Amino acid sequence: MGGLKVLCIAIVLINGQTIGTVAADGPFPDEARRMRSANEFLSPALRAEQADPIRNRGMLWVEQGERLFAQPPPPGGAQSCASCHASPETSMRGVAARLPAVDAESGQLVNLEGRINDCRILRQSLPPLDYETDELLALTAYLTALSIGEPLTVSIDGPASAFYAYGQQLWSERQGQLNVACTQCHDQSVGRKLRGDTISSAVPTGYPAYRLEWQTLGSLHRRLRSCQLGVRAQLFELGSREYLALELYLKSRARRHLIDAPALRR
Amino acid sequence: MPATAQAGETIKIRSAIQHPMITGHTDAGPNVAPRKIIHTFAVAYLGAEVLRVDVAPGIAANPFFAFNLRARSSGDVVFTWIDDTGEVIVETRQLTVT
Amino acid sequence: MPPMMRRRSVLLGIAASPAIPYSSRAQTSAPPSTVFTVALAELTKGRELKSGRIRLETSPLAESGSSVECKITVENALATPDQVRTIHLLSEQNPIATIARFHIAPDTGDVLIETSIRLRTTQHVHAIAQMADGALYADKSESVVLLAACLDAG
Repeated sequence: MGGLKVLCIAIVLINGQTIGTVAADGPFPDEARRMRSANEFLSPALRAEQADPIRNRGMLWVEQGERLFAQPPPPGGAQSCASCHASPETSMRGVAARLPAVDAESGQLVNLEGRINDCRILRQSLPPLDYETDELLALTAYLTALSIGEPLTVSIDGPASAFYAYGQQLWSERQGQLNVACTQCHDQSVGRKLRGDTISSAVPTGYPAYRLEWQTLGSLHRRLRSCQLGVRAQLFELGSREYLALELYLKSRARRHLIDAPALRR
Repeated sequence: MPATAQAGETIKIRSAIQHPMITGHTDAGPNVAPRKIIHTFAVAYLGAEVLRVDVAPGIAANPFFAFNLRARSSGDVVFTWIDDTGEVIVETRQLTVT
Repeated sequence: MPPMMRRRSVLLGIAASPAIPYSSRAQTSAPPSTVFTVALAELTKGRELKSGRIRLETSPLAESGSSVECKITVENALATPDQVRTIHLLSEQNPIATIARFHIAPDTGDVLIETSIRLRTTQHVHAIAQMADGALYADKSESVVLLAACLDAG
């Protein structure tokens, strides 16, 4: 294990690209313009920490993910991630920006977490990783960070259209004891205060994100669950079709916003 | 991580490690997990300890420590973290002094 | 490899970085807890707490008590008999008063320590420097905590 003494400064994948902004041109100018980057809602102190590779706690998971991606599989495992995906800095760049997407074989909507677990089961002969485990968060954070600066480009056409419509429906439906729909806060009340915080446009480019409240990195699905807890709604399962559809809907709304994960959140 | 400094110069070193720092406080709820924190962080430079921190649960998750170090001559800076389970993490960085 | 040694992600940087801006503000904290008072008495053993030499700064307005920025500086001349030995960081309102103790090697020079701490609620935090000649120097700083540590809403 002595040879594993790697580790270094956080991998700064920013590549000179501006973070938290919208690509200059593209097919959805109006949609992109009315969505405000999550960074606009961060305090200056948190924004500074987010931009600092040592103070952005999410970089600890990025580094773990880089290690997991390259390491040989544990006993019983068939191959490492890197056996198929050589030079991940180039070969995996942009992958996170295209997900979730409909899997051609199964017809199901699959996000990055799902893709990682599909690889584990089908290619690596390893058991799937649970949501919110450090390992799945680390691989997700690493692969998402490889797409920093890439605009979200999820497809909502063809087989994805039904999932998009379902996500849009969930977004618009009132739920929970408070009887509130996502859209009432995150479209109609953006910029207003709620529980000492400012309501954002729900641009998901920073996830997985490190929330100080969580004291750890967390998935976008966990963040969606936090909102459901807030309105006292019945919670969906992490990785469920409901959260996957909402993830597609959110990422479609935020198309052309640039990935800046792992982000820091309050 | 290579870094260079001039002899006599004071440099700032920053460190962060991934650890949940579970407090074990019972006021967090009835099903609280037992305490599991990094209880010691130590730094040695040129073979001598320059900083030792006794850490309590009041230090935030994923502990961050920054401190000044007076560069004297080229050598290793050795960082050690020890947690409640006996896990020991050691990281070494070379400091080049010109 | 020793049996307990494992891998964990670590971030290390050796560089200068800008200081966090702090400002003073009005007092809003509750009176110190008994836990704090006892810990302070055990530490001082009746000795006087002097001001000067040590300075403590914490975020005046902490967005989350789970991670509050904290900076300690101590004037510490080389080759003098009253160099700093230990810095005690104490909380007035946490369940455990002592947040950390920093043991400083001789001839370190001026001390700078930065860390992130947990604060249960709005309160004063104290830093007390214990010198080699037994003298104690203290400073305190108040943080208003918007979201308490020790809570997880999911």
